[in-house]
Amino acid sequence: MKKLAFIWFALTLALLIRGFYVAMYVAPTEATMGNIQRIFYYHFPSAMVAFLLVFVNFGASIAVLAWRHTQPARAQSADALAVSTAAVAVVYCTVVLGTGMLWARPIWGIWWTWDERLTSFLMLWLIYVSYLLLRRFTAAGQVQTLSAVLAIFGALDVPIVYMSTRWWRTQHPQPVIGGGQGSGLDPSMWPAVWWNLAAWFAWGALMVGLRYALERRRQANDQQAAFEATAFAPTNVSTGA
Amino acid sequence: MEHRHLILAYGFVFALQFGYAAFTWARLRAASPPKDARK
Repeated sequence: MKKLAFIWFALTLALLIRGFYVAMYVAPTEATMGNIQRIFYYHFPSAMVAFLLVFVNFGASIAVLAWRHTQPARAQSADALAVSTAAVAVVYCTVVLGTGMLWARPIWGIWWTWDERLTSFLMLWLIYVSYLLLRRFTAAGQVQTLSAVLAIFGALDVPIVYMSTRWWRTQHPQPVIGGGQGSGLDPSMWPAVWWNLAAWFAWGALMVGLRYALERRRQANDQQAAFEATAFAPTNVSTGA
Repeated sequence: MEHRHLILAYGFVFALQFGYAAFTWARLRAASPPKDARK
């Protein structure tokens, strides 16, 4: 398993280097925005990975709710996957928000505007930050169920984020993929998009794997602690009555 | 300003992603039992 993880890590690093090179040196300079448009090659793939992670989190959360009584061992695995994808999704959403603001300042003249795309994406980030805070600060017991329910509501925000530029007139540009006539990228820019999509998908999978291993380890530690607490608890203590 | 923001954006992405990876790796190491305890 460790060998596979190392190969995956090496492959991901190679993809990241290639993606960086193509984005910086191969993709042409955009006519109106200049070099600042190269932020797009990290901004867009990060958003796509974040959406995918939210969908995996959604599926895992449903599995937790479905299996929590009938198959608790499977529910534990699904819960570990849910928390792993949520944590990594928050990192990717932070990347999207940060790169978006750094791009907006020189192009729009502002760091932020409350348009529908930006606001709905900020909501997505807030929902998953609250998911992680819920898991961090809620006492054990119902935390898996509560967070699974919250995650289902969080996932409902993704279609709103995705459709926001179609449903409303936004400051944010029209969609790159499936945006209709006049939208989209120049064909010479697509290699930079594909390389970085591959690289950040691979990196996301690696991070989920790492976070999943941590969560499974924690579950095992908690089970061990619970077992030791019951196994060594005194059962025939005299009350002196 | 254009290049400053581009460098900042790329730096932000790599710092956050690699920082998170290092943080998670350290937590995993801390949660795992020491090697001699596993035997």
